[in-house]
Amino acid sequence: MSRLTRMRRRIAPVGVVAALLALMAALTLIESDGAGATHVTNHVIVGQTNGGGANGVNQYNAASITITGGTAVTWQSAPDGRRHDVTSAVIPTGATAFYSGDLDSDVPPATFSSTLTTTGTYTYFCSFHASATDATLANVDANIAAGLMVGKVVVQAPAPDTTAPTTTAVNAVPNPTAGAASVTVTATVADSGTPLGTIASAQYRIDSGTPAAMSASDGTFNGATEGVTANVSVSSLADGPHTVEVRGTDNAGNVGAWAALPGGLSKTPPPAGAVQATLTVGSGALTNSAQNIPFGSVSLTGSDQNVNGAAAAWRATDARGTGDGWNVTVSSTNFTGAGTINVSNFKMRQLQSAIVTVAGNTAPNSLVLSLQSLSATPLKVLQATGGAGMGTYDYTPDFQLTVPASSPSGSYTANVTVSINSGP
Amino acid sequence: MARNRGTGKARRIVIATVVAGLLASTFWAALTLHPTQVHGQSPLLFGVRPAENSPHRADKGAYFTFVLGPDTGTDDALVVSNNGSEAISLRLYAADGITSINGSTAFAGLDDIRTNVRSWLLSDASVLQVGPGQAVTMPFHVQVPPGALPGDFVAGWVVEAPPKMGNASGGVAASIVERAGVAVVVRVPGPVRQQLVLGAICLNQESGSNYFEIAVRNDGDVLTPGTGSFFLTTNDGQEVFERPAELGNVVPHDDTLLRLDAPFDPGPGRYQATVRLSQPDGQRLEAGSDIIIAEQKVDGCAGAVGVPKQPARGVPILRDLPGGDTPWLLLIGLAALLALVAALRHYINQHLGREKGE
Repeated sequence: MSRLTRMRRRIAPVGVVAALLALMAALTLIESDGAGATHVTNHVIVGQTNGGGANGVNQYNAASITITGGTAVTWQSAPDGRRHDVTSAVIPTGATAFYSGDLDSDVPPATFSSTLTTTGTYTYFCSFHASATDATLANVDANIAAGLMVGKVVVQAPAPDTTAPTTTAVNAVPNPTAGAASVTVTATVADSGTPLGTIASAQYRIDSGTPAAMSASDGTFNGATEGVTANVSVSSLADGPHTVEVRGTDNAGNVGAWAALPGGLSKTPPPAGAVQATLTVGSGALTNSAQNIPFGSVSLTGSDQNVNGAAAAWRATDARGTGDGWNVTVSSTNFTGAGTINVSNFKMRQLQSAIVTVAGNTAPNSLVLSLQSLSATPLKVLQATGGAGMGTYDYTPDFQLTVPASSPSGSYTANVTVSINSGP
Repeated sequence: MARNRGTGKARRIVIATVVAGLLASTFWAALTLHPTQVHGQSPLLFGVRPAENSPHRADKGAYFTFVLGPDTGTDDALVVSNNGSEAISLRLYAADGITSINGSTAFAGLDDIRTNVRSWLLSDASVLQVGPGQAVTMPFHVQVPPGALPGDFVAGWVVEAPPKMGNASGGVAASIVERAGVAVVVRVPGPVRQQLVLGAICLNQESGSNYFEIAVRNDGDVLTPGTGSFFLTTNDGQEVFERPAELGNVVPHDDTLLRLDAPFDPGPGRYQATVRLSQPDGQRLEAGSDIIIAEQKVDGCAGAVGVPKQPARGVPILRDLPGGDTPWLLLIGLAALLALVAALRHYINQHLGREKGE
């Protein structure tokens, strides 16, 4: 090995290390340059970054940044032992002002975050070391360059989502069908790219026919990746091979390409000698029946009084046969008549032990295990999640009305609305 | 005698007319107050769902989901069924989607206009007569207005029975209004974001209550749920209890409350309550509040921040009145009133004339 070669081998690692150091130094410069440079970051150091003391400079680093709308900006206190804050000065129309409170590295929390969504320019200042005048749009750039403790965030509109979702893991069960009247088609639909969208819908088609809607496996299309499913009737298909394809659409309207079931779907007759029994079960309705709430009599005593109203059992029935889930809500008006008793004095409770399965699978859950105030906003009392609550359930809620001591004597009535809801 | 027979006949006619007028007026007033028939106390078993062949059924058919751009529309149909043993009159109306306490879509009342997305839903019927065991299919149209921004818009179809009046013998009574609702979600394509915002946490321990309440707002454009945990710690950081926090979907630009029953009374002292939720997009949210429990239990939520906003109420339009687009009930009422006036006038003339004659 020549001396030159050995020298080259020694120099090569040193060069790599030097190049890395140079790169890190360059990146450091980009982050620490406070003289008007615009930074692609969402992290700002607040306070003296040169060690503090008499020579320290109170400033934001990086003081001028550009972000995409919807990004959270984090301001972190420098370890300078001083009090600073982040106070918005100029904000775009429709935006919300922000203020961090004291940011002191010695007193947690030493960070402050704000998600800026409205496009435009936000300026801010430290109320201990600058003023709103220093952070006007006309002054802010010059004052950043001059080292004043002011800053600027430019919020740009998010780039449009142009990436269509992709579909994988297409499957059908049973396959071959072996005489089954329907198959369950499943797949995974995922969005990608920046910005990352959410899946809005999915479809399948058989033999390149008319697309039909699929459902999200978890009940709601709201994630960047969704498992999708559909129960597909194959009774009208001829025996033999068929194509099954699935595609998804994201919330920006980008429609993905069809992804095929590997090997296709094979429709086959029942095994020889098998006897097929067919039963068609039609779907019914989702219903709820509520009973009156009898309150006992009450006589004024000079003190607030609680009057209990024990309703007879109410009954919820899900005969849809889909297992989609449902909920029951209750709302109420004030009690009015001789005077007004505010609805917040009207409370209800649904003990889980007071939910009886008349016929069905998993009983719905009570979300009101202790007495909770009713209001004009519907209170979700029962919830059957997907796959549960199929059948008939009796439930007996408890009611309590606090009659204030100051109530005028006479009759009072309220309108109580009980709804059974089917929705997301 | 002949005059007396004539006077008696006229009087009977007048009385019959007055009674008929009063009955018609009462009927009209009852229908105006609630345009459905009064019924007995047998259980009401009615429901509403998408039609079997609806092309826009979400999940396995639980509700409707439309993906429509601005200034576009489409048709669909719903089914109202009566599983009870008696015929029933049901009020059918489009309602604005709102968020129930603890999340999930619920529906505003007939006269309660919030987002007015309900005006996107168009149907002819407002009162349905459904026989026992029968189902009625109602077509409807969804029309997205021009200029609609990307996001989820939530309304619903609601069927409502006449109220059941409670017994007020004790001085206090509640009338029960039973409803069934099916959601209609219109998704306008375009860039959207998920953004729940958590408010303050308070504790309600008044009159037997024992639950925490967290104000929640959806500043995003799409239905967004949250899932996570709730922690209560003492002021020196000792955990008192932790429990799961499940918030159903919050309607975009709507407020609601997340309520969590406390498993036990922590007792007097100073505590820190913290809730941490994750959105489906992975964004994490956190809120915390100091909770001070005194010896005397009070409603700590009475003055809490985050009270739902009350949007301006709109003016009801003709199709919101009884009878829908055709105000025949108004016409009947008007006719009854005219008949009543004419009868009174006839009676006064007859009466005064007889007095003059005598």
